[in-house]
Amino acid sequence: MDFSVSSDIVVELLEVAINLILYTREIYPQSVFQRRKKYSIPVQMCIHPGLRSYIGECVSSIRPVLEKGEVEKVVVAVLSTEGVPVEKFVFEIVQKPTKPHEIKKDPQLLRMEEALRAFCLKLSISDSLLQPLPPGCSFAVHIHVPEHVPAVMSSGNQYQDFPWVEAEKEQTEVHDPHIVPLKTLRTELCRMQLYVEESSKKQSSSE
Amino acid sequence: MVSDTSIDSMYLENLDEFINDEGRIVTYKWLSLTLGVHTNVAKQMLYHFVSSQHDSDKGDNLNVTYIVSGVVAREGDHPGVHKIWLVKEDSLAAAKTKMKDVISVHIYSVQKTKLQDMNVLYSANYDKVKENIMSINKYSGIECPDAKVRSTAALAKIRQENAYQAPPEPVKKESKYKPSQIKNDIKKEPGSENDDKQTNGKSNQIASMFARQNKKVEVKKEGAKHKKTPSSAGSKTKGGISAFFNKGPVVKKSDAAESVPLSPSKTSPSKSESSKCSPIKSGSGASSPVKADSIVSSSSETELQESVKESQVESVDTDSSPKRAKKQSKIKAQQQRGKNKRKKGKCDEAPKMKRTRIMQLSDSESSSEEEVEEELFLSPSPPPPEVHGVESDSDEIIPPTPQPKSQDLLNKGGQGRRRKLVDKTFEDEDGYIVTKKEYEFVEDSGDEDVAEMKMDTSPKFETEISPGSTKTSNLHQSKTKTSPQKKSTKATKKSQVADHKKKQSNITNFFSKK
Repeated sequence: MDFSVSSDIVVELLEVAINLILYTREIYPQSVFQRRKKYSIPVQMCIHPGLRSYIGECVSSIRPVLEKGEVEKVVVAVLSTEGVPVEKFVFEIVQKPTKPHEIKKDPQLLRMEEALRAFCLKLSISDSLLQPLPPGCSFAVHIHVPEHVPAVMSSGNQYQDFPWVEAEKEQTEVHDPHIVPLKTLRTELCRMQLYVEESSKKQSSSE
Repeated sequence: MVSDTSIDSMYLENLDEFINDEGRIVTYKWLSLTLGVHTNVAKQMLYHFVSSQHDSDKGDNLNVTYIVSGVVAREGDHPGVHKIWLVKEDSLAAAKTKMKDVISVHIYSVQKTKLQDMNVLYSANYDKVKENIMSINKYSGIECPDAKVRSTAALAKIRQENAYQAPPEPVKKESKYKPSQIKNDIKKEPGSENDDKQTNGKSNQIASMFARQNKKVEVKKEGAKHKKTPSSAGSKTKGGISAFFNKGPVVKKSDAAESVPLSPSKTSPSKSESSKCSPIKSGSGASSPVKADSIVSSSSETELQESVKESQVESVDTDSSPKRAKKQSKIKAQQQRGKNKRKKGKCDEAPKMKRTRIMQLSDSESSSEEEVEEELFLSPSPPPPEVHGVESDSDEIIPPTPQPKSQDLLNKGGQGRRRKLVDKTFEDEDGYIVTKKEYEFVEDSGDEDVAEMKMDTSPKFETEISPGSTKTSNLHQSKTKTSPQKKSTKATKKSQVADHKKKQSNITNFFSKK
């Protein structure tokens, strides 16, 4: 089972997407972002070294799990000042074990890139679909994996530099959520669905 | 057009779907390409939509971007400048006030989202624009009748013209390997008695590298082969005398032997002697294996050479061909680096001429490169092997033609004079270490003397650098290969100096003989 191709793509997309979410949801001030080019379109990339390395560590530590095809979901949770998630950007990922030479329909991944562009575009206009966030929000990255994976990850050396810890329940559950679908991606390499779980009591949670 | 009520309502429904239901960013460009209407119509539709939404009190959640064109009032030294701005609705008034003359205000886009980043507008247009990239102005008011699409044939022609500029690149690629090569050279020099020979071998290897990269170079190589053949032939035919001339080939052999099995050849003097006796065999084996790391042909060559030991000529030919190729490649490199193409050509044309041709390496780097190439074979570094593979192919191809030539040269050499390629290293006015390759004609009678000279020189080398130290230095170099060029350069300088001493002594002997 070779998930390396799709995991490369997913890892890239995750990094872009996390940056875009932080930017469009104004979790960090716009001044720490810089315009970069990805998928032939301008995207916003964080230039704060700490934040950038954190995002980089996150996605790169997801990669080994992705390469085994064991990631079910990646969640970017937006936490209010009380540490309660008010929004969750959920990436549901289903990878297909495709080898590079097996990509027949889209050998240059042009359609894939187009889909990823649409993904980014949708993310950048997602704020029109969502209620404004309370001030002072932070974020966390969660991954959903099968039960046997955490044991492997806690023992593997490659995970020790940037270990994943089990998420606390209050950080994972959105109070009274409703779902805002954003984008679905179907390609030879993977299927992905992005939706937002949004708390209906966003503002009240901060009050 | 928009005034037509039926069309109007249809468009409005469309826009309502795009903007409110799908949440799209609708720019006039996107709308024009999507609906296939003129851009001006698209703008009117957007305007109509916005005003109708405002009328129906739905417009509050709409964000409109305007494209404002006008002459900006003077700013300092700049008089009026015609500017076109994309501005958000809330800053539209401010933008207008900044302009002395507002020429036009159009709606650029309508979207529900509050744009954080105007760049998203580009993203929104991107795919639609790419779809229609060949006829992007079909709905636009801007036309250029002189702009014509080039035919594929014309495009191919242009590409060919551009392709001519490509050749220089290979040289640069080669230069990347220089550091590692230099390191290798250092290693070899101390261990081997025949530094001069090594240098020759290095040059050959370098040449081979070039040959691999540049197919065009092969032609030049043929000429170079002629040059090389004399020296190799001389070595083959005459044992003692040839040794001097052989330095190139013999050294190669010894070097190669050293390089491939590294320690064994260096450690055991008997091996080196054997290599001298059957210089071709050892040399070819050594050199070929190095090249062959990735190539099968090399092993076959070595076997062949071994079997042919008795018939040294053939083996020599095979050796000489790679060597020639290397030399040629060296020459090519030199030409490319320096400006000696003409000189080389002359040499090729008149290999038998008695004149002394001087091959100049433009700078110390080139000389180091040559030396280094041999080292490359020794070094396990990944990049060289690939190159070697190419080389081997070229070598294989080359041999058939050169052999007869080489034989002729051998015969001639036996009769009278031989042309030998000698590396002279010295420091020039600017403090650069320059290695010159000179072709010298040596009489056969003098060969014995030369051989004696060799004997004298080789001990010096050994005394200068102990084998153990060389080994350590080698290790050092191998470790440092990736990063430190400085060390390698230093090492090369030392080696060059050593070569210089040897070479000079040889040369002086040569002259004294005459």
